[in-house]
Order: sequence, then structure tokens, then C-alpha cells
Amino acid sequence: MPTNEWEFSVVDRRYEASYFEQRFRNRIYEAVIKAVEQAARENKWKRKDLAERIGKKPSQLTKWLAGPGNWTLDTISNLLFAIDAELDFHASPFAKKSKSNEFHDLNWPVVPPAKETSKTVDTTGGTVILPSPQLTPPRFG
Amino acid sequence: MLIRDEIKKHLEAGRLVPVKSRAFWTSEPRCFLLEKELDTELRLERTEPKDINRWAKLEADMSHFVEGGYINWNLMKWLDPQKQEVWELKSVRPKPSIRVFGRFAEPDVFVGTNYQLRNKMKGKWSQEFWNEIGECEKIWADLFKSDPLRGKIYSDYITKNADKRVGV
Repeated sequence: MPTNEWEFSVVDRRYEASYFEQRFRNRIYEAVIKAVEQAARENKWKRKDLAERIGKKPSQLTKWLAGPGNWTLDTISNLLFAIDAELDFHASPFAKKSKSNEFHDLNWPVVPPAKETSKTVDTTGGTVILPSPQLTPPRFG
Repeated sequence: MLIRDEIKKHLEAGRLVPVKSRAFWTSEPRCFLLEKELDTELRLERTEPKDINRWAKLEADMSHFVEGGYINWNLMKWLDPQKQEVWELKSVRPKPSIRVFGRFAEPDVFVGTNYQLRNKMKGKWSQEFWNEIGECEKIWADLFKSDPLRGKIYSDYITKNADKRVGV
């Protein structure tokens, strides 16, 4: 049981790290599956063909395609090699990500719009700058 | 009363709680609402590393839906008999697998009502599974006067970036 603020913080960071592990897994599954689907469509490859291209059984391929639960880095490499492709890498710091404005309208009520009072005035140019709506830090758990 | 009005009323009253992505920069084109008691249960303070890991990953799977991520039958499954309109979100990794049961209120709007660990249930037609389906229906009836969304194909429920099966 956490007994002080620092320990709570460790629990919190551990939770978020696990969350982002799974987020990464889901995102890479999506990226690889989309690439495999597109290549298979363009080349008229079936699962059997893809399996042959990496010397695996079709049943193995079926397991991999079903979900990312047991994927390793080697799985990703194998699936991409099967379609003659590789991933390109680019790390994006969270702080530099631009916020999306696409939200389902039922997700909006919990995100209060920026208040009129939050206007700031640029006295040098006399221009009123409206800050972009600040999203409530997402929390769950 | 339209189901949209019922949802809004429950959101205002806190009887439904939306899952939000922790990736604050992402879009949220879909909506995953949790019934209040389920939300409370998922928020329970957990201190064992394996529990923290497990529940964080369930949250990430729900957020993946909210963020408009690619969904297929292996994550969101329409349970048999389909006429009962009960679905499950399958968070399979790590073990034990967790299933969140619920129904679609509208296209891209899922209401999670109850959950169970997969290892506490037996096969597809087991009594334990039926109990969870029944629990889902009971909670739904308590929340809504309206029926759940009734569709025919996967895309009637999840309109974009979703396929029942991987297209290979």
C-alpha cells in the first residue's frame, strides 16, 4: 500500500507505463495489419501465400493476424517481411503532439469549453489571443 | 425519450462515465461509456504490480476503441445469440483475460455494463456466460427505456476502421 506521495506517484507512473505498453501494442497491430491487408489485396496474396513467404504454417499466420496479444518484435518483422516491407521510425514527444479536434459529441460534455475569462491580451500588438481549448487531462483509474 | 437524451441525462447525473484517452492529443471519434458501478470497480486502487498492469491494459483497450483505433472481432465481439444485442470487449493480455459486457446505444457509442474475468466463466454457452449476458440486460433495463441499437452487420455498430475479420 502506498504510504506517501512519492509512492503514489510510482504506482501512477507504473499504471500509465502499462497503459502505454498496451496502447503501443494496439497501434502497431493496426499499422501492420493495414499494411498486410493492402499488400495482400494488391498482390492477390492469401494467408497461405504469406505464410509460405516466411516459411511458416498458415495456422501460425492466422494466430498472428487474430490479435496482438502474443506479438513480439520478431512477429512484426516476420509479418512485414512477408509483404516485403519494413517500418520507418520516428519518436514524437507527447508535448509536441498537436491536439486533435475530432471528438464524438457525447465525449464533449465532460470537457468544458475555454471560459471567456481565459482570454489573454498581447499588449505589444493589442491582439486578443484566444487560447486553444484546454482539454482536461484524461483520467481513468 | 430518445436514447441520446437518456445518455445525456445519465452523463450529467454521473450514472454513465465516459472512458477518456490518456493520450490527450488523440481524437475521440467513438464513445465508450461505463455504468457507474462498473466504472467504480475498474477504478479501485490496486497496488500489486500485476494488478496495476492488468487493469491499465484493460483501460488501454477501451481507449483504443474511443480513439477510433482499428477494431475487429478479436477485440469487440457480438455475442450469440445476436438478437440479444450483447457485446463483449475482450482484453486478452495479460492473463487473466477480462471481458467487459455491454451494448451499443448508437453506432460508435458503446455502453459497458458489467465485466468478468474469462477464467471465471466456462465455455461459450455456459451458465456463467448466460449470467453475464443476463446481468448486462438487467443493467441496461435499469438505465434505459430505449432498446439497444439493432444492426445487421459489424459496420452498423462500428462505422469506421473496423472489420469483423482481418481481410487476408
